Amino acid sequence: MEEYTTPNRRSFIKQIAVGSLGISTLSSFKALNLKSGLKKVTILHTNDLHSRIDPFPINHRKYPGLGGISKVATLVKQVKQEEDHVLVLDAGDVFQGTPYFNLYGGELELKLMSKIGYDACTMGNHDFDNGLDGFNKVLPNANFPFLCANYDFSNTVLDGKTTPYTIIEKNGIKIGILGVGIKLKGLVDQRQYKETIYLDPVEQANNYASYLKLKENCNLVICLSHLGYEYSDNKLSDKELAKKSKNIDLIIGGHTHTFLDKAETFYNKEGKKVLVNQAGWSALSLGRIDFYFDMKKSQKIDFEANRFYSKNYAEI
Amino acid sequence: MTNLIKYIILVGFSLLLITCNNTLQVSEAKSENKTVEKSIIISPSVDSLISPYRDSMKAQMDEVLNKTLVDLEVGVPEGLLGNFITDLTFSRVRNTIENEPDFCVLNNGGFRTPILKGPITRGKLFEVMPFENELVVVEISSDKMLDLIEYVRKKSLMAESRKSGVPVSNIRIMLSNGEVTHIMINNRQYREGRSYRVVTTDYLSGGGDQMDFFLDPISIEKTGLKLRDVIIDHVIELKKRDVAVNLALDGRIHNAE
Repeated sequence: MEEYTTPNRRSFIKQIAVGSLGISTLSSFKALNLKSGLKKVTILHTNDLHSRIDPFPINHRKYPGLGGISKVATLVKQVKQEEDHVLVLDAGDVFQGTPYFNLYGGELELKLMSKIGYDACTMGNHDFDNGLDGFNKVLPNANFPFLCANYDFSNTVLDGKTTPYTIIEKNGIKIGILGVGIKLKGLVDQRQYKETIYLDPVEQANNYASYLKLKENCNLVICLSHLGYEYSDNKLSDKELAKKSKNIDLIIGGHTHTFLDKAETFYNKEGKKVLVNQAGWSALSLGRIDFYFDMKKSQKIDFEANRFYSKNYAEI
Repeated sequence: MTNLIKYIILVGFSLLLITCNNTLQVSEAKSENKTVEKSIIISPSVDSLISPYRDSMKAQMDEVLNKTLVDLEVGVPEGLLGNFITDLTFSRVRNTIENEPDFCVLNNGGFRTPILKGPITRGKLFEVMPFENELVVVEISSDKMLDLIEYVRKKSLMAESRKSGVPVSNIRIMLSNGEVTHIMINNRQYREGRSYRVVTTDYLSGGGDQMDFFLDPISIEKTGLKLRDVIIDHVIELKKRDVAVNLALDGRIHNAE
């Protein structure tokens, strides 16, 4: 920070101090506009769908008649009728678990998710079950992106078929979404993932999150994760990722098939809130978080803005 | 005039800063996850997308692959279902990999339903083995081998349940009043102090069903074979030779009292 406290900057700050007085009426006018209602965005999410197209059989011991992507479709439609700005996301392991996958390789799962209106998904370990070729083959059935920030597919058939992040605007809210996956070695046969290079999920998540928040000025940054909610050993989990993260507001998790009643709150390394949620598996639960947005002063953005201007100013 | 320009520049700068200063930020978040209840009605448009796949799947699942002349069920200390599946598994893996395995261990809990006398459909085999378990060959140390034998011994003496009995192939364990008296592996005497190569599933090799003796093995080799596929292939293969499933208990684990 010191490098920017040049004489130029000091006079610049002085000017701002004078100028902002005159503008204060403008900002209160904006605030007034917002009072009619905070801006709202609704996030719906699933994870570990595991090819559960139809609900569990009616004679199932644990989940009779429950779950199913076909029923999630109804729920999402209902929410979309009630809410204007809805985002639908999935945290991976769409594949494997019913004969639908064994027979059709995931084609129907992706077709249904496209029909439901999923906005983005990340890859879970089971999405490698038919190999990269198997995934690639059915991928055209998805009209939404697969977000993989820590799998480097450069030397594989999936090169260019996934993307680390995406940005979606809803209700004037800019939402940055990225995806991270679990370590494949030991979990997935190498014949399945081939030359995929596994990158550190925390590093990648933080890199892309800071890009989305600071450079793209996203109002909300969501990380889709297939790392797992928590572990008894020191394996990286969503809880750990939340604590080690920066610029992520919400982690939507999977892999551990964890049922939560609602998103849990954790604090990142800057002491800021990070929500972590997971919705069981087999479309037995639909996760939901409603975010309300308000015009606020942001110290961090403030600093970034100052740095940006003072830097330019100094260069001039 | 210059004052006016200065003023305009000043206002311009301030405007820029205000835009950057005030940003839409999360002021509140509410969360409630919803159970996907039985009562939810599936929309006709969604169902019509699924139904061609469902119908074709049903046809494939209803296909009769072969028949069994006996009821295949789990049992303690041995059962026909366990013997049938471990035998076909062991022989398939032995014919697939380079280094010969010694014997096979699976678990009764993994077999989800019996195969009763009569036709065997593909769907029935999916019911028996709904999991996507892959077969692996685990080489375990002589110490771990002792743990494995003790595990089998204990489970063989338990009352019949989903948690008792251990399905094995190519190994014979003789017990007398609950104590191990004689073990044959691959038609040879069991030797303490050597390692053994065991065919099992990736699930059990990870310590599933408390099979801790598979943890930290000397080596683990993936076969690329899925247990269910191996069962289906075998049943189809028998049919090709016009052979129905038919077997009897052979006392591979036996407790003499």
